[in-house]
Amino acid sequence: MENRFDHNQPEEQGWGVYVTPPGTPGSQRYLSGSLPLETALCQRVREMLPHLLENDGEVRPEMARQVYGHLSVCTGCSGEFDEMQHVIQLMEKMPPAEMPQDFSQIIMQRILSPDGPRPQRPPLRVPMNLADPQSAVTTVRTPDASTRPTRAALGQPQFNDALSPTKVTSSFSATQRLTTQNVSKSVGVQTQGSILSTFQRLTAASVLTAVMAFLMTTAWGRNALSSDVDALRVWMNQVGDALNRVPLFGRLTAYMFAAMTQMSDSVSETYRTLGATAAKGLTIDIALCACACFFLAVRRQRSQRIGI
Amino acid sequence: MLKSKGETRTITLVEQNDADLVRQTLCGNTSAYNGLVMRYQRQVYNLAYRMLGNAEDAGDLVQETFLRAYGALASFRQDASFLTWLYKIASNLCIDQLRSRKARSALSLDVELEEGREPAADSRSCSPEELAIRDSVQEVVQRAISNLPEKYRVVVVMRHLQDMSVEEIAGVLDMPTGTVKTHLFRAREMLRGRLRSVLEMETDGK
Repeated sequence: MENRFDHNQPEEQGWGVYVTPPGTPGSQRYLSGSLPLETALCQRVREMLPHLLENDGEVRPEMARQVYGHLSVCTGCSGEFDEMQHVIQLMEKMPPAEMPQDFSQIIMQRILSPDGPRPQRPPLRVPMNLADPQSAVTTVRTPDASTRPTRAALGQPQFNDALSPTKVTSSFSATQRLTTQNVSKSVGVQTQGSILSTFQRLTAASVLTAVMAFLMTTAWGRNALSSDVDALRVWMNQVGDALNRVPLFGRLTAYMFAAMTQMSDSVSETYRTLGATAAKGLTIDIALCACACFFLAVRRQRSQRIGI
Repeated sequence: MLKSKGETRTITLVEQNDADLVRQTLCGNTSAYNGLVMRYQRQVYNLAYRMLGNAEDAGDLVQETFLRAYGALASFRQDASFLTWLYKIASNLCIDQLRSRKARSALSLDVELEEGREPAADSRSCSPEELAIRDSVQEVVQRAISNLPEKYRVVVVMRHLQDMSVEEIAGVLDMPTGTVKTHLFRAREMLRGRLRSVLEMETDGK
């Protein structure tokens, strides 16, 4: 909250004077119940009253004393303060709403019914946050799972369907499995596990795109890559193939590599046919698209964290 | 005050903490989820009732909240409390419903005016038991709260009827605490204006 009141000011101006009522004609009017006289001081005091009620530390103790001093002499402000307190009292006196019935049975019936909700695993979390214990612990069970014995009942951790044993073959997933076990053993599962923060991921993506764009559009970059652009393409494809065999993360990277290969293809094609300016324009477009994609991905992750 | 009442009731029932129950639910033990429902349905119901203003909608909203929560349980992060997470879902659902209700009533009002009929009184808020306490102070307060804009209503209900701290509310609504306070203070100002008759009555009574 912005600090609407400069705390240093009153000491300098000497708040003692403010304790005096703001003129006799005004107090006459307060007593008669008509509109209170709004002095500058009253306004300042009134701005502080909600904070005083909330006791949120916005009003310092010495300031609070001064305000109470003012309240003791200004009927307008003290009347307002009383009203504010009264409103809060009225609300806090409201009894908790009586539930007409116990909803737990209906809820459990609806959950167990065939068209009830299925717990959804958080999508994308596993590839993006490798070390995120939450995604590692994620155990997706359909509601009818209770009817058959589960491994959980035997005290063993279970895995997300995406990490089901049939798919888990590589060493990468084996490490993930280890993490899963360790994490599910610890009682208070803490989050904060992701390898890269959102900001780091965004920065990495932008830098990567910028480097690619630079290499593609400048004469120096093309020289550096020289005739090896094709070799690079082949190499990228090979790496992509190799990565394709690693589940989840590998596949994702493979897609990225394939996309990059295609990107470089289209950029060099444009360069050959239309010249450097067009190629520059295209790369900038690609860079913008990449940034937008990452922005969306990050937003999506945030909304998933909320869980809705 | 409200919260502590609910807690003393439930603590005797289940000693397991929320994190354990969530984990068990995720492992397929649905009765663990039942424990969570029993533990928190009162608080969610109170929020829904104060936000929506009638028992029927509040009941539906409690069910919907727990069903949604069950569906999204895997994405529940344990850095916040389970109740806070539930409140987050419930308050979003409440606000959605209030908005659709507003759109619907605008629509039906248009139709009625076109057909030359008098707009019917809001039948929702007139169940027999509610009629009985219609003119009591509580009813007036509830009506005043129900007339606040949604963003102010949610803050004031959480702060003064659910006894949550400003920081908790900020966490639930994903807002800076400063904004929560601004909304809270504005809401209280509006209420002060609307409840003036009650305030004067009570002071006269004294």
